[in-house]
Amino acid sequence: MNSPAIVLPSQLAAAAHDVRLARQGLEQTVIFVREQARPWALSGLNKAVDDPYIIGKLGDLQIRIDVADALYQRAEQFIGSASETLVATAEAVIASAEALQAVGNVQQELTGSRPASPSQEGREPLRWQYQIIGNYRLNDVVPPQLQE
Amino acid sequence: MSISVSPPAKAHVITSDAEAIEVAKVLAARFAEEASVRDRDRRLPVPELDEFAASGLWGITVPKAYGGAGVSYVTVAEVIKIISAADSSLGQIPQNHLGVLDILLHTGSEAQKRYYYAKVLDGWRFGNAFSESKSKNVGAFQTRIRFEGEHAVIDGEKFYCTGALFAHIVPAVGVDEQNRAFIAFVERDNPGLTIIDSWDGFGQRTTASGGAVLDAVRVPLSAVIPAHKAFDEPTADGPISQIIQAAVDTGIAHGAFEQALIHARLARPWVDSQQEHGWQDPYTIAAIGDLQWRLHGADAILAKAGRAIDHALASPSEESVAEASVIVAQAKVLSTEIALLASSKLFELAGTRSVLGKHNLDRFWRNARTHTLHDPARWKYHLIGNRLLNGIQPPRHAWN
Repeated sequence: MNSPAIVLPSQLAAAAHDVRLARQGLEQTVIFVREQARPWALSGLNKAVDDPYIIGKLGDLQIRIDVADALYQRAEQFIGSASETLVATAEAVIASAEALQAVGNVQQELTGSRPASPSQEGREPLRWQYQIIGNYRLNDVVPPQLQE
Repeated sequence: MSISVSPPAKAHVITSDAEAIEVAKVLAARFAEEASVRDRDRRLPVPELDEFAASGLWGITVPKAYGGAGVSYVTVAEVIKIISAADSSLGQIPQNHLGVLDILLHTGSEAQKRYYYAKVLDGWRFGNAFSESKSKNVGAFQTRIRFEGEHAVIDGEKFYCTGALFAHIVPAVGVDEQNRAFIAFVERDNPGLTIIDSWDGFGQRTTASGGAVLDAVRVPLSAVIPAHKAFDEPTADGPISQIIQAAVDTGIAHGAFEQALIHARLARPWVDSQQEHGWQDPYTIAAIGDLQWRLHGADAILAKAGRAIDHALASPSEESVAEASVIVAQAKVLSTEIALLASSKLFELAGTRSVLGKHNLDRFWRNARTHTLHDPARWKYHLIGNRLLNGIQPPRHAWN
């Protein structure tokens, strides 16, 4: 089993990587919409940048990325027990992965392509991050990485 | 129904951010005890409000130059969140009081600031008579203010007047002939002012957000401030008004989440889970994990919004105010989402027994659904996206 000293930074690094990719994806999508996207013919709009649903979707992505970034910073600066620190990291991992997924979905819809998925090598499974947080919070169970 | 407002009790003066948080925690623990009963019986929190104001928390934003603590808006948001987690009606009641104190800072004369800030530090509470239910939209006002020599006269009808019933002064918005908005500080017993306890919404039941009728209400000019100037120029007033909304909703989310933890532990195991206890359910555990990260995310962005407001107050500009608006809008979206989600998931994780009337756990969802309607979250995505895509700064008003 990996020691937490190794596990923690690598999971946080994965979160940072996802936030970076999400920001890039959003930036590329914004540029595409400004320069290449055309409004739907029946929308009554002259420009794609005026499309209220595009505007709303991009605003939503910005929120997902910024909250992931805030949770990443929170985890990075976290002062607390090993369990609490690991839980904070799990929260950042989820937020950044979900932000990147959301960006990919919208980028696919608006530009027809999506960013390459980050390598999953060395990453703990995303689905178990929810369990780690929940079991600690609900049942006071120390995260499995820290159990003897 | 008429309610007599007890004269202001001499308030304690809070001197630091840390003290404000401590005082809020002590008060919240006490407010939590009967919050459910107050909601169920719609018992207006009269002694609680007196205690709330006497604690000094209603004066923490009074600038240092006027004898207050001038705390950070990170602290203001935290205080409102802590109180709202215990009782979100109590958390909402100072909403406009705090907003008005900031408008006073930007648009009042030196003498007015000295006078009204001293009143606040003495324990006076401001209510509000701003919104109208019959005008075309929230930004349109039919209430008129006329200037006659040394006096101003206000006529109109208001709704959603949170806190007015319990206020010592009811700041009322009226527009002049050029449609410019002014605020008149109307004393509660001023002739012509009638406050109506008509709020019967299914949530935030004890905010007493009723109506107000202003019938030829006459005040001296010294009681009037040119509120429109707070939005003609870039000021942090819009974001300040909004962060308090987001803090109330974040507080509701915390209250609901705490109950979810308690009641999910009490749930029976589902038959197919083959577990001994409900809290061993792998899907319940993951659902709690999902709520927790979202709640921490809302907390983190709320604090970031507070810092952006502090910056916009210290260095007001088009850019700093727009930035504060955008981050506060994010806090509004995230707090709306998690307040509704946590207050609904609570039942899913706790099972049918949790809907029994004796628990009154639906108050969290009723409060979340009601309070998050203050202004539509769907336009916050727009505000953020429009700045990102088109470089358009958020419109400046009390809802951004």
